[in-house]
Amino acid sequence: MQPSLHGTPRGREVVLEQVRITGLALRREALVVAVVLAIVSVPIFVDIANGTAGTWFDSSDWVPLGVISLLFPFAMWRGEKRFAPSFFWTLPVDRRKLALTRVFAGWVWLMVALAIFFCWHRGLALLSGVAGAETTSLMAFPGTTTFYLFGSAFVLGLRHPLRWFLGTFGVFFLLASLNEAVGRTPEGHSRLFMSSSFLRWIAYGPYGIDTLLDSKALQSVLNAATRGVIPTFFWLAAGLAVLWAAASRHGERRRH
Amino acid sequence: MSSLPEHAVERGELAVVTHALSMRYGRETALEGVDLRVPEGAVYVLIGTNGAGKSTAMKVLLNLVRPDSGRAEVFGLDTASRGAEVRAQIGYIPESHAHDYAWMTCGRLMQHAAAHYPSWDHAYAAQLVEVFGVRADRKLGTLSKGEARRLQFVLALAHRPPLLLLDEPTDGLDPVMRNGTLAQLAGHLADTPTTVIIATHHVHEVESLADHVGVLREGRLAAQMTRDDLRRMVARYRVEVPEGWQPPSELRVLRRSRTGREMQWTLAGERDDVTARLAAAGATVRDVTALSLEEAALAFLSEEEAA
Amino acid sequence: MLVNLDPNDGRPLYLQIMDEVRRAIVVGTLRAEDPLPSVRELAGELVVNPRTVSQAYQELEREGVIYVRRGQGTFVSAAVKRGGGERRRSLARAVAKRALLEARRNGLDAGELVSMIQKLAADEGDKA
Repeated sequence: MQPSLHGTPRGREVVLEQVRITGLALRREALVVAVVLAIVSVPIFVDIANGTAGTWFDSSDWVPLGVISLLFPFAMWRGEKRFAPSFFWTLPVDRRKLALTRVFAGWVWLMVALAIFFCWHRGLALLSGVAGAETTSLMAFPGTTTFYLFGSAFVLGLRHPLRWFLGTFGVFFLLASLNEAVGRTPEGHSRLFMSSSFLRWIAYGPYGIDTLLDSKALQSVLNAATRGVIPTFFWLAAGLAVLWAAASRHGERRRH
Repeated sequence: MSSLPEHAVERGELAVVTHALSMRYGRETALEGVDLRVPEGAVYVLIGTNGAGKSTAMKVLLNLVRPDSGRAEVFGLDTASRGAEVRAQIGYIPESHAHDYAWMTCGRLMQHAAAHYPSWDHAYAAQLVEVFGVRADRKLGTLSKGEARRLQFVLALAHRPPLLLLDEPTDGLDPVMRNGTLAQLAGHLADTPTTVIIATHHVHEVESLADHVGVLREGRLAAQMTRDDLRRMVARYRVEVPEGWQPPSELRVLRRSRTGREMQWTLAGERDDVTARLAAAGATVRDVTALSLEEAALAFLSEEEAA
Repeated sequence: MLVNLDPNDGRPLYLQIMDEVRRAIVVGTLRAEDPLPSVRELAGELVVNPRTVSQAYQELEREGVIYVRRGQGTFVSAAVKRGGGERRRSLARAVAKRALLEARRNGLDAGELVSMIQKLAADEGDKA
């Protein structure tokens, strides 16, 4: 009486369901973001009516987007016991594949949210008479993706991601304070990071942090050979590699 | 009388096999050289005190935890290398009732599970929802222990898995629901060829379902046999003995008590053989009583350490 | 309920189920050509392993007490007569065996048990 063995689910099914379930889980966060955008829209509309809205779009600083993308995985995995034998891990899917599928599902929603945000931003910019192309760049998509990948790697790979996150943040803050104390060069570069060629490479090299955080991505696209596309994809690849390593902590052959 | 599963063992048709499983949590020994043999179609009751390693053994079978040494096979699939395939064969009720997705409704969770099990039987799931009184619109976070357990039963049974791992399945159920749930399980077994492993310390509840028994004591398998063998092999002997009488040393004594000149012994071994040995040693066997599954298991759990 | 199981009875469950079906036939609860509950029903009702019920039914079928009609279920054999002499005897033997066992456990011998049963029966007869 050999019972016929049951098959594992098809990858497509799992991906679709994980996308659906992640979307459902993030409904509340989506609502909060929508409300915030709506509230912010009010003064912008007032200024548009007065013809003074241009200042809203002067700053093309996308760092908040990066921070949101970095923190997004924390919201996504909230409540999921990643390092315990929880329901999630009892599903009949290879564990590393399942973890990566969930990350992909979150990414899909992040990109959807970003697209909506872009439409909102560019729409308002056009209404206020500012050339939209100046303010928004498609480079934000790989950029936020990179932050999201690192955030996901934090959450998946570490038992206490928040502690690590705050620790890392603390070190950055210390460095930044030190940086300010040392001062900046006339070109606006940090004296601290310019002090050694290695630190300079880390901060301002073609593959440096500055490129990662680079907001003037449009120029980067135009100037792809030196900075921009290649370094962006370098960081993207690095994010993928770190994520793979983090997801591998949950592999079938690893001890939890 | 040889029962069906015995043949299965001889023919090597085992649903679950473990080879010298050992596992420690820090200083705590969860499993120590455990060799489980669960024939296909068996209802195998894993008995042990809290922390005796029952839950850990199940998690090893699901490849949710990895043993320090040893390995396990489910329907011939190595759990460590083919975890996903193994889990596709298993309906699992964990010890814990709590669910991570407090925001989700029961109905949505079932839909979620259905997407991951190609063998999910939607019509049967609807029937189970009815029988177990699961309300699809309820949020998981608001479920009582009993309601959560009933939902877990629906999730575990609806894809008609070839193997059920039930960790303290009746925990949190009220007496009426407990009986109804076990009756439903019995009915399920009649419809669907299933091997079941039930870990419990409420042995009497599943006594009539069990046909195989394993006793885990401090991570070691103290006994593993069919229910019928257990009935035959473990019994309480009332013997009258002369003054200063010493028992034959070759007998495996699980428990003993004494009233006056009469002794009550729980002994392991073939009944005729044990009776003959006792008689040969000069004791008069008054009667031999078969033990309930729970009594027999308790006897193994409290067995006096061999000197 | 057709079948009652005694959790304190030391015998295997399938034997108890067989005895209960035989008893039902002897006392007339079940008659020739009456349907028996399905394995699923009885297993669910008694909360026993369906295999145990199957085993009991197979043994009873082998003894000719019941028979299976393909696709329709299990029925009491036509040849079985209520209270047939031999069945009554075998039922009496089973009851007596249990009583004897209980008596020995209490240090009584068969003679004491039989005379007490006769006395009790006679007393009840006086009352009736």
